[in-house]
Amino acid sequence: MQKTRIKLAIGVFAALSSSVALAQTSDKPVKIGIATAIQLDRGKDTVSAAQMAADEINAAGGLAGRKIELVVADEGKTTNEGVGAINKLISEKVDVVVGGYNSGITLAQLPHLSRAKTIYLGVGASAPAIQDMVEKNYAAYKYIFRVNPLSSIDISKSIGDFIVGKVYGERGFKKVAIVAENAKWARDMIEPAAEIAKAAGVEIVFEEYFDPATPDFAPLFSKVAKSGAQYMIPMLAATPSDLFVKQWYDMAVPVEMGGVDTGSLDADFFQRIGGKSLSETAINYITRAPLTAKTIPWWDEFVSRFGREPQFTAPGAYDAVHVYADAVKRAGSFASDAVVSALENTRHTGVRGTITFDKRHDLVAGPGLVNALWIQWQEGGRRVVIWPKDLATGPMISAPWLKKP
Amino acid sequence: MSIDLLTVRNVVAGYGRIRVLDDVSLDLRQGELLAVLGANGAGKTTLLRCISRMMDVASGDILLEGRSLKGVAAPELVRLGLCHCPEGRRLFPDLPVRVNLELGGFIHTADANAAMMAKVHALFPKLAERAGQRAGTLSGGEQQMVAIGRALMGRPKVLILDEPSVGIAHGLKVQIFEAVRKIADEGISVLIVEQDAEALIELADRLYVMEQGRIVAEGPPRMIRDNGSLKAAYLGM
Amino acid sequence: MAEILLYGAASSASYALMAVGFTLVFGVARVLNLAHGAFYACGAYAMYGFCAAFGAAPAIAVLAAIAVLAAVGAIVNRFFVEPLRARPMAVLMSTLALSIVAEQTLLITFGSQSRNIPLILDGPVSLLGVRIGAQGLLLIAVAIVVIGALWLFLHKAKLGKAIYATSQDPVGAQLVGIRTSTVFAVVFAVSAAMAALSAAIVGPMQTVSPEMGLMPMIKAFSVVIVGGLGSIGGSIAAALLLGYSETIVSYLVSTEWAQIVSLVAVFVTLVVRPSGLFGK
Repeated sequence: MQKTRIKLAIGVFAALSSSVALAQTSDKPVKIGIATAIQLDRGKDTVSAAQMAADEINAAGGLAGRKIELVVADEGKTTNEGVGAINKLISEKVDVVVGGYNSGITLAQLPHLSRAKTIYLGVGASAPAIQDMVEKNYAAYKYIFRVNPLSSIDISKSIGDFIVGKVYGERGFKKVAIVAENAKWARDMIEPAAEIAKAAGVEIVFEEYFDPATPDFAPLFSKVAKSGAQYMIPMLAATPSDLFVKQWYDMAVPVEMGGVDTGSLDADFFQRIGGKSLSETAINYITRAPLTAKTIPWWDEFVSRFGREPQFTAPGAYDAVHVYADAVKRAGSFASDAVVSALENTRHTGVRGTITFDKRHDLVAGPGLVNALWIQWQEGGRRVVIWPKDLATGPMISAPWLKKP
Repeated sequence: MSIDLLTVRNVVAGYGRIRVLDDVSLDLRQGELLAVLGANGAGKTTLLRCISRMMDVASGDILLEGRSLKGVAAPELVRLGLCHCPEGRRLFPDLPVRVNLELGGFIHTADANAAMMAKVHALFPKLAERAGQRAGTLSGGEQQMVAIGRALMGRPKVLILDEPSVGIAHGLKVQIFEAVRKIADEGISVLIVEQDAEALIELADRLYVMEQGRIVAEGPPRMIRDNGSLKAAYLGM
Repeated sequence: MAEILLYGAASSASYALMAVGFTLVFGVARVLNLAHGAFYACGAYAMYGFCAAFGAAPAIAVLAAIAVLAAVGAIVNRFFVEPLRARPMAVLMSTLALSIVAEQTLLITFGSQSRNIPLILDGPVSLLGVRIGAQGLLLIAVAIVVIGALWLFLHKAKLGKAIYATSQDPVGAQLVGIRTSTVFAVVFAVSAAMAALSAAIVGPMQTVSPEMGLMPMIKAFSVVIVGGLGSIGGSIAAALLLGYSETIVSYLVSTEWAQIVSLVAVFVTLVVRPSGLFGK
């Protein structure tokens, strides 16, 4: 009798103290810091989506009874501005930072986050180097997680998979051209993909790196057409996509294209270039498709609330806030170390897929988890998922000038 | 009674704090060939630049046919009947002689220009010979002829010449001065500024002498010969 | 190869339109107009404004943009260049400051996102067996016509001869009654109009963004140095030289090196013959 009562007392005490620990600061809001480039639509959408998630949680009673508040800081375009943004958030004593877009800026911010022991959930930068820090120095950098997008290594694999499975496997295009801007990220990303393609029997008949400042791509497209290539894989980040795609369309280059095109991710890309991205395929992270049961309802609510389609950072930011809230609940605490342990065990089905982390705290790719999507612009500006097969929402179309009557 | 075509009245002018013209007054009468004589630095060129509105006067006034030139922009002077043939000539070097002359008649009609061109060629036959040649490739004396011809094409009532004989061989110098005399005889009032006193004494109807920004003497040409100190200063050399 | 012939011509055409205007201002007014790139960018945005706000047809919008920029050119001359004419350094600084202000104003007004202006001629065309956008051919035709018209104007028309005379000697020009202040205003207006024309025809084939004037300005500057400052013939020759060199390098070597060609050409010119091909 005595032992049971003591056990009961200890149990009640433990339960009470954890809820007291949570409730201790119940009048103080939970501050989620958002560090992003607010000038760009991707930055604005990071904030909007995070706000959506915060509002949902607050409407359901808050996180451990506390209201979530967002604190926004502008990362700008340079590492100085980025570090400044982090320091501002740290000085405001945020509980967690969600954000990121430029890998270089994120890398510069890591030491500051580490020193302040502030958890960081990245939603926009894809360099593997970011999560490599966790492996190199776990004690210092365990606070850093990537929720979005997939790392460039996973993107590389996805490109190879797309070429082999879709371009060659389904369309029968054996000869492929690679046209990439002469940047390190492009070389690092395309090489493994090319190896995967070659191993499956695809021929890379043309490969050229170009200056992103090129004003006229006619000579390049002409060379691609002459090489006998049946499909073209562009790698564009600094290159103005509007220019590249418009010229491809206006010249009616007899080679279809799909690859990494950061400009093509913009929801208004098709409409703002007068529909000239018709039949272009680009790797993307989100579209209005049932990736999970939550995707379409979430998409529609975002559009109705903010009057625009979400950019690729939005689902990441939305999921990140929920992932954080979920980890705090499981940890029963807001203390960084406890939340980090809880985060490591995350298995959260968000709007893009099911989120889990590897030992580098990097988002894991794969069937049933999170996937890169190959999305093609089709008639009327509809974005159709054409790959991977199990997530496809429609067939791939040809370029309008190549359609056989 | 002769009319004053051009009146310079108590003009003070200079560059920045340097005063070059110190209360200068002169007048050019209808139909006369007036010479202003002076050594280097006497202020002759500055005087002409004030008259042709290349610079402003600090005080005093300049009147053309009784009308003040204050505030008048330089390009308007041709339209008011005053043409300036400047120091350094300021020709259009890559354009042929013919076009340089045609541009002199910029404000006039093609017909009037054709008539005037004939007169210029009569005065300076060399220019007819060299009509198609680029002005910058001519000799110094020939370029001076082009400059005077161009000024004449403007059909001026008042023609101003700034040291036309500078750097020119003696033979051509004589030709030029004879042409200037002919121009004055045709009825154009000429104001010529020169260092070469000997030539001017033969040429001019009336003479001013300038020294250090002031007019120090005025009178008929023989005044130089008759005045000992002037003779020593300007005919000695 | 027919491809090099046509693509090179299109490149040269856009460089020529920009460079001739730039060199005209230098040759006549002795002004290195660092706001020339701003004229280009503002021309594109003016066209964008006419299309987006008034739904104007592309050809009308181009003409309207040219008219607006011609006026802007005359205004820039009157208020930002003429008053400082006595000090060339001050003029340089003034036009540089203007270009910065213009870019910032465009950024604030329109945002940093790329905009699209419509083509006058849409669709691909096949000429000499070469696939080229129809607008590219339009660009070549317009450049030939406009520069040809300018040449005729400068040599035959009265105002044109006045401009030519002013470029030879502004003092001499004033002496024959040419109102040089009018000449300078016209030259600035023509220069700005040509930049706007270039932007309105090339812009639809590229993108419209606040910093779009920088590269054309640098290319124009390179062309003018290689061709000889103040020489229109030199600008045309150098535009052809650089346009074709870039295209040939793109074809035979790689698109990676094409943009370096103009820098190399400038370097070689400054070392071997600093006054340029036809400069003095």
